[in-house]
Amino acid sequence: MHEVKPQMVRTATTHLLRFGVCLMGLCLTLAEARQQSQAQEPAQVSDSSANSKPADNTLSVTGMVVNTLTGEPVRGAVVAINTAQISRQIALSTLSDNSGHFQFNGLTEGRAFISAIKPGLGNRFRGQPAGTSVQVTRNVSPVLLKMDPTGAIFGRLTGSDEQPLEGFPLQVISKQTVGGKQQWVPVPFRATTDDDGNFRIAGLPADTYCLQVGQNQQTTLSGRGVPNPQEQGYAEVFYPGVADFNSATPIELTGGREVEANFSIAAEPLYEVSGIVTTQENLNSPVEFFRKAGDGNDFFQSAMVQDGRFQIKLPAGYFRVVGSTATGIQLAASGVVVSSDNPNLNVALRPVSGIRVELQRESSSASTQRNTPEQLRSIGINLQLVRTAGAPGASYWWAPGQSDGFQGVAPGVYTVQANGPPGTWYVKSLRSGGIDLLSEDLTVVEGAQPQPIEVTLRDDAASVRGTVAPADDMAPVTVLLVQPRGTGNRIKVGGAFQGKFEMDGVTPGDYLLLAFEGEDRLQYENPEVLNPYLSKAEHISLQPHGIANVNLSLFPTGR
Amino acid sequence: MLRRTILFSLVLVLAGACRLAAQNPPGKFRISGKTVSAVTGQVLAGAEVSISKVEQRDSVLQKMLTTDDGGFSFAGLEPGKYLLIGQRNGFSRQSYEQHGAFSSAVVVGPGLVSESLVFRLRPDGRIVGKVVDENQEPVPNATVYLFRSDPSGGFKQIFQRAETSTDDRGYYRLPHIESGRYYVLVSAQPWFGPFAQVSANGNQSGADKAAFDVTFPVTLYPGVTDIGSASSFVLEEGQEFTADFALNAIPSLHLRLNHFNNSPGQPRNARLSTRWFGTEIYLPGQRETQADENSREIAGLAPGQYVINIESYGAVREKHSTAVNVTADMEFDVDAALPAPSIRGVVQKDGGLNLTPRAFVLLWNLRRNEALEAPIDNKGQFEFSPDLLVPGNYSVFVASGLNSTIGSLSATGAQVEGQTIRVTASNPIQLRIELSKSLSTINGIARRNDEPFAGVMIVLVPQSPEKNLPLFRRDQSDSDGTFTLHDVLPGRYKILTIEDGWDVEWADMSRFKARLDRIPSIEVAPNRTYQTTVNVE
Repeated sequence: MHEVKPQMVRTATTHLLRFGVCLMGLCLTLAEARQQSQAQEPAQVSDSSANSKPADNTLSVTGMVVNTLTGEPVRGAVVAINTAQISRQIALSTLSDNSGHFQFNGLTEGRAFISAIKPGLGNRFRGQPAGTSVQVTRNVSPVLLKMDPTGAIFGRLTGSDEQPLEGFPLQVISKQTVGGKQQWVPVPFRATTDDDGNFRIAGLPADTYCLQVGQNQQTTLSGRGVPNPQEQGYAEVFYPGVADFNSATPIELTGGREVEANFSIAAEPLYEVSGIVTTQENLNSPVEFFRKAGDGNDFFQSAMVQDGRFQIKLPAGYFRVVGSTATGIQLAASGVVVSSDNPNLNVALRPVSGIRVELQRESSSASTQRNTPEQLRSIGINLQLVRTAGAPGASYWWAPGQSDGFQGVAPGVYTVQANGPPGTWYVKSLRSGGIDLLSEDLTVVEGAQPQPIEVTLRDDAASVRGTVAPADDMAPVTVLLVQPRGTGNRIKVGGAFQGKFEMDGVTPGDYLLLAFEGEDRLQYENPEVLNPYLSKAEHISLQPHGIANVNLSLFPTGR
Repeated sequence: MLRRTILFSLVLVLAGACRLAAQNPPGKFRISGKTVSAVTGQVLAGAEVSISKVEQRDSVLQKMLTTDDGGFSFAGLEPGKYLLIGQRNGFSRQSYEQHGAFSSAVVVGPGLVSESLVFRLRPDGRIVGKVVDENQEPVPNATVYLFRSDPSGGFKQIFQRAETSTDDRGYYRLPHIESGRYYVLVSAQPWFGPFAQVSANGNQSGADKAAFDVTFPVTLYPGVTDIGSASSFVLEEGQEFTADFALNAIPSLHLRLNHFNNSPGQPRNARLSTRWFGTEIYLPGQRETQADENSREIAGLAPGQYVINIESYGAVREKHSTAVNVTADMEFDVDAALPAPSIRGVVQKDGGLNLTPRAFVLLWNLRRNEALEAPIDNKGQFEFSPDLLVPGNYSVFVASGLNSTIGSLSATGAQVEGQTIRVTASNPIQLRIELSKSLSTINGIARRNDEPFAGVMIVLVPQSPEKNLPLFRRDQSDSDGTFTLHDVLPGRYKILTIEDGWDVEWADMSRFKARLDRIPSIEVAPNRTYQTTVNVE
């Protein structure tokens, strides 16, 4: 019986970490590698022959690293080779010479993965180093490693008076396929404008980006030669200077290019606002003012509350004001309007309606029952609310035993994700009022009391296991279990590892099975993308506690 | 030439009855003027100018943007001293006639000039450059340190002024730098440094191991690796100075720390740093591995002087540091170096200590740029970590805001002269510091040709100045020539005025010997407030 590999968890982070391990740190960012450099054990060369014959360890692989954009050789790249038995974690590494060439000696026969890294080349944050699999044999052909140059977005940020704006934070948001959907995701590329307003965000793979200028606490004065003029402040904006994310202009970055994005942002008058905070609860925090912009917020400021009074400077707009009690009860007031100086603003904070979660489990051997918190907690499920559209926003997390539900959820549209439970448990149903949250989104409306989320778990889950061919030692594979539902699909996602997969906790029922190259490449949540593949899918029918064995063929995703 | 260059008229007034207030304040006053560039003289439109009362300097009274011809005007002011502050793009926030920590307050009142001021804003300089390797490829993530050589502490010292990193193209930029003399230093490692650890396994070819096992020595402008060959440069106001670097990777040296894990219950951690101009600089390229059961190896070192900082965990938490000169691959026994004798003591004050948060005792050798700090606990006790303290004479300061002047200093294990102790490497030292409760204040006015003289440096010089550096007091005269010297310990002093002397070593009395000889001493008694006049030469 083959060793069961842990099911892949589908996040970009774990993808990167897993790849990092298999390449002995090669695709780690420099910072990560630095952190790990002290912890790593010396690598061991694997013995790729498992039989008793003495291994032939006199084989060599040669190759060359080139820049895909210019075709020029890349000197000084770190090139590493990993043999097929990656659980043994071997790596030999070398630096390509001035003509981009490299050579590895003393290798044994078998499959190996060769990859290269160099600053300014390769898609590091996606965990996709330039690399290729080779079969190490005598007389193996030279390997060509192609490295994509990364690009940069640079520019100058000025005020409406064309003076440079210094110290403004910039963040890049990239359009990615996550969980089978296209989403805008903040990526770890940031910059701050320098004393001349200039910024530069480098190391960006070819992609579509949105540029966000964070809120800055600087204030300016509004008119020359006027004593004590009104102060002005800057809110968060998206390139080329809009408050609403949906109005932002995306920046298309092609490989190795540098795109200039100069823009000007206007300061807004800040009004002196003071007043009282009223609440039935025992407020035990500063009050935080969030200005509404599109489906997000573009200005934030907090104020201390003393003897029920606060004082703050705010731009004009509609604000949501939040605070909390010592026991963690979220308080909020919506629709607070600021349009001028106001010494008498009354902010009435009320407890925010939480979204209660009602969890119950069904046993295949007994009737439906409510359970003690300890029993439910032991199942290991958690729920997450993730915003479905617009600017990336906060997500909310809940697990049994924490509280009786989600607290302080801002209005918006959310996908409800049930993570876990492991083993034989599965989520039989996930509902809110009349909405089936397994296939529909949850809408949280300002001021309305949301329906509780009802989760029913059942313990007679089925399992699917099988193979995916052709098996690549290194490339990630996504396995989808699809149940067509009306116009959409209900999908469970897993991963294959070295050509094998195993998925537990599967809801009994009929499924179509598919395997795709890569992780997060296909927008499988979009029926228009997925449905053309379904005619070629494997059909299975899973009974309670059933186990199915399936052999799948890998669909390329063409990326 | 005048025979007497500085006149003293020391008038004792009763404490609390300081100056005569202006009788019947005649209504409201105004501060007005224009902002100009101190370099070009051009008017600066749109500069933000504000005023606040000297006694409430954090509370802005009025502010405005200057007009198109640089003008500003603040009306409706009561008599008093005001801080005038200005800033604009390219001109960091600064006070009127600012010199380091001092500036001239604008004094408003009957007969005083507070209008038509010319506020000369000093433009910021900046230092920029590019760091490349021996193949002319950019070195990203290099740390660039800027050190300033500055006499504002009394003697010339070199201290860290700023720090930044290079970008993906190897460029760095240090903005908002005031004029002065500077050194630039770069600490970096080859980008593939983190992979050297991986490449160190036994199956790598020797050539591959050697290719990865390289390091960049710390490099100073203009591209040298020993401090004696480093060049300082002068940054003028508003200037952009370019300091480029080409780093050369050299084979790295390995330092093996033996007997490192002697006590299983006391695991230890070692970290190497270097000291440049008295500042500890972390070395990004060092790679630490367990060489064998009882030895640790640190690779990635260039030849040079290092400080090994060793931290013990477990039941006893200890830190100590020792210096080592690495010239080749070498071994070092971390326990062979004996810990330096302790320096500890207690701060007391009659009637009880009232220390500010984070109060500390400072040992400072101003001539040699050596300093050591120790925090003072709530019982007044302090203890230094003197492992790296160079023997010599150290002035003793207590840093705890106003009213933290040492009244008496005594020691066992060290010779005390005035407010200075002689530290040797042989004896533990116990210090006893008594803060004074008898401090006095000297108010004065600087005059030239009987006219108030603004912007001059006023220095209160104690007797035996070399041994009593903590007793110096300084101020800058305000727009009406007045100044105040706070926290003066009773004793004999001379008051020196230094015009345009903000770049001189004002504590080096050998420079002013002839003038000092002509200045009569004054005797300051406990708990008094004095009024004096000094004439500026």
